[in-house]
Amino acid sequence: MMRNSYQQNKGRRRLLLATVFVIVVFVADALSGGSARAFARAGAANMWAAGTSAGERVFDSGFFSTRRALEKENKTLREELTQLQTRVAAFDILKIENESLRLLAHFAERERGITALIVSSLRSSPYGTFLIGAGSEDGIRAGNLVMAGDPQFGGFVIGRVESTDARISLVKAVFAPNEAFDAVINDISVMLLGRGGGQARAEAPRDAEIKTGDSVFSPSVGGRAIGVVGGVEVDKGDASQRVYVILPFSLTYRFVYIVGE
Amino acid sequence: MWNTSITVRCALALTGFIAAVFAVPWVVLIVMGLLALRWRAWELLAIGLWMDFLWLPGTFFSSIPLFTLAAIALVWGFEPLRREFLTA
Repeated sequence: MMRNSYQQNKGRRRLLLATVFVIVVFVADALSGGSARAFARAGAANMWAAGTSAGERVFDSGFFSTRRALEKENKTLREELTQLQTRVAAFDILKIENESLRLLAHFAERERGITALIVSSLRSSPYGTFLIGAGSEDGIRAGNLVMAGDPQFGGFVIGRVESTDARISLVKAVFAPNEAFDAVINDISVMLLGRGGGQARAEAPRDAEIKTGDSVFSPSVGGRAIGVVGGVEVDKGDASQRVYVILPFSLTYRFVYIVGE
Repeated sequence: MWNTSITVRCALALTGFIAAVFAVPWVVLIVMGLLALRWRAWELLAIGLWMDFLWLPGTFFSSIPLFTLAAIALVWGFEPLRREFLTA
């Protein structure tokens, strides 16, 4: 009995020490400008690269050949669909942008940036963040915009660089969970609430003319496109309508384009 | 002495660390919950810290480190339960 109580106290003391240690590490990292984070992120990027490469090798070995063939066909069809959806949305964006002098001027000084590889999972972060394989050594700065889609048509802003290390940067998605973001749909200002996974929701006045496929822009990212309307819901008696905003392509893109704000 | 309990604990801890990189956050949270239920698992705190180091945006406490806080809450919140029902 006494021995058991001694063991319990010892265990609790150990746990208390571990708790204090974790807090100290966290504070030390914050004070040092995130050096431990940089180390952890570099390790995670390597893990991700090794994991995805091992996964590809297992699938390419033919072990799951029948299933693999179907998945490949499915993927090709989805990519084709995605491409078409992106082009339709992008064409719409071009039309609207051409009507606006401000955006014409913006086009004239069209963004110069760099392409970066996504080096982490897009769904693992509880904060709506992901890692890209370019950092301060490549000229990336906090606040830079991260774009994806079809660069030929301007693409969509999918996030903003939050912090940079030498070769890796952390990006926060535009539609990060519970993140509020101002946007404009058909000249109507709305406040989008991110839901993660490239989706967001907004409330718009009931009589606003918003329909599926309309492009969504945001003044917070220099008036660039951030998505398209994926659906509109109106309940009887409600003064507003619920607008669902999505990215018109799957967030499985491996490359993104980084531009200055 | 190495036994099944330690094997399961190590496997769960490893799963937590790997899931932080490859899986959805719920998997990590479930692993953390399982660890906290059965053991005084200091590695649970390390998993929470690892998760926040990887994904937490902002600098110098501009965001709340949810997983580190959750780890501390789990590890100490389940302490009365462990003390009551478990001997480890």
